Amino acid sequence: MVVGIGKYTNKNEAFPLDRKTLNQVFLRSFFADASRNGETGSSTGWCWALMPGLKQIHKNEDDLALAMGHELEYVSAASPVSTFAMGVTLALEQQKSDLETIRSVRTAASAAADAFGRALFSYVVIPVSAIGCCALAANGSMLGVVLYFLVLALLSAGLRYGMLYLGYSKGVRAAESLTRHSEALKHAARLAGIFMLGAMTFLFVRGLEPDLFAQSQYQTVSLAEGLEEVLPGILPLAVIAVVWHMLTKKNRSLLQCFLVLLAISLIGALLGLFGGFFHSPLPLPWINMM
Amino acid sequence: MEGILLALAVFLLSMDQQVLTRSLQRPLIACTIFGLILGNAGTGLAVGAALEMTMLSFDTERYYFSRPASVLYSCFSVLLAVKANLIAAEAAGAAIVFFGIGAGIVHLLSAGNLIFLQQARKAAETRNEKKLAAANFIPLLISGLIPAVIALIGAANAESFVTAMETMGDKWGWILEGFAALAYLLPLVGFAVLLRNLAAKDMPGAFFAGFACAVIAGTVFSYEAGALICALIAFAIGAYDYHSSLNKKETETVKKEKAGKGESGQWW
Repeated sequence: MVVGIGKYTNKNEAFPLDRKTLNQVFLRSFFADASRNGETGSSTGWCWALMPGLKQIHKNEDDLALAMGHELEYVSAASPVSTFAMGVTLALEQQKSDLETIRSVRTAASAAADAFGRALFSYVVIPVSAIGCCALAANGSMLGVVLYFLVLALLSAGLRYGMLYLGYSKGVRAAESLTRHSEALKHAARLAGIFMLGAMTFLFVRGLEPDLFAQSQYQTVSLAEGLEEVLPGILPLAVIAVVWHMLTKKNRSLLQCFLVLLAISLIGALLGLFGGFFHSPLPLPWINMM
Repeated sequence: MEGILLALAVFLLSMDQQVLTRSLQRPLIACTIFGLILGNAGTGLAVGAALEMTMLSFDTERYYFSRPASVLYSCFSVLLAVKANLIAAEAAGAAIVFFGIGAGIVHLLSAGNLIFLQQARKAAETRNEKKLAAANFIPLLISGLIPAVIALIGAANAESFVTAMETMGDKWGWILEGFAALAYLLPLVGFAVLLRNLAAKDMPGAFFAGFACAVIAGTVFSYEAGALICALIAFAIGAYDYHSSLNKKETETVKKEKAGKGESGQWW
């Protein structure tokens, strides 16, 4: 049995979630990224955080298992803004939307929210507050440390709270007006979700190009630059094609895919194919790292 | 006692790298806490300010996903600054191996946590929330425990421990690099599963269009800006598809109505 595949038995719209339940989801969202794994990102914590809402929405036990199963698919909840996607997902669950619609909207919304949150913190909040607070700290003032903590903690918690409620209310409103045309919505959501998956294939795995240089006394050629010229991101695209082929055409299990990738990674590292922080003990003789 | 307190702080701050507000783990705050434990808050502040500035440049680079490595690095930078009387920049340079080790631990756990993902899937099948919570929190505890043990061992004799870790890194560091590569590759398995579950076979064009857009946007702009631009385009495509489907449906209905009236021959 594939967990999270199927259709809800009870398709009647559930009662809207109350403030108490949404607050529980908000508090749990602080632990949504606790068990990040390579395959499905923050999915375990994401599912656990949504549980108070899911339990209230799905009274039918099979439906609850189905909801838990599909919420364990790939999702990123690393940024505080990710609660927006949690709110939207809960709204769609409450409307008992089609599973494909929920997973498509969740994929697109969580990727966008995650990118926005990271950009906000990496380029604005952290640099601006760090420069000011480090200047204070360099003069020996503890005020810099306290201020830095307060700015980051309050902004992070505030965004989490606000975005959850915003996502839920917008999601409910959007889903209510769209349920009349559920087939059209399902098609559009799938299209957007698959488009976003294509984008994530390049964006999330950027930087994997082998950091190698073929070198002779006349010429030095960078393999990474060469691959970039052929097609940027060609490696992740090739890997996803192989894994997809293994899963759908060859009926291989996830464990088998994992073992193949583990072998590729370890052999690649042993031969120094990926560059990185530590030196390789057996670098390929005709290829140098610079 | 000092070592135990240091290990406890590393344990808690390493978990803060993944959960809560992720503010305590920032080098400025973490180094100050380590400095306070070692009885030299001033040195902790100075090292923290120096490391914070260094980490700002890492935030947008390839090491973004390994940024949680900063707690172990912060801990040993402060230890060296206090115990070996090094200035902030020297201590940060001497302890750099812990940045690699910290990143390696993160990547190692990223692969190791797949065991707990299986537990979570079983918990979903049986609707067992307690098991799901265990699958979420045990990895968190492990991610705090491993750096804490390293800090506990290293606290006693920081200088010789750093040298020993550098030697070990030269010998076995490639394994950590292997797991770093695996951490990059594994999300692709998740994406492939999602593609299968979305039955994407009939929409390969959408997948490749998304990929091409990301190549253009992600090469010209940062990762975050590229992702946002792609999300906006995805929204636009979705909205266009939704409205054109409705229009098509409407036109078909009108056509059917007209055809129906035509059959009866009494359109008036």
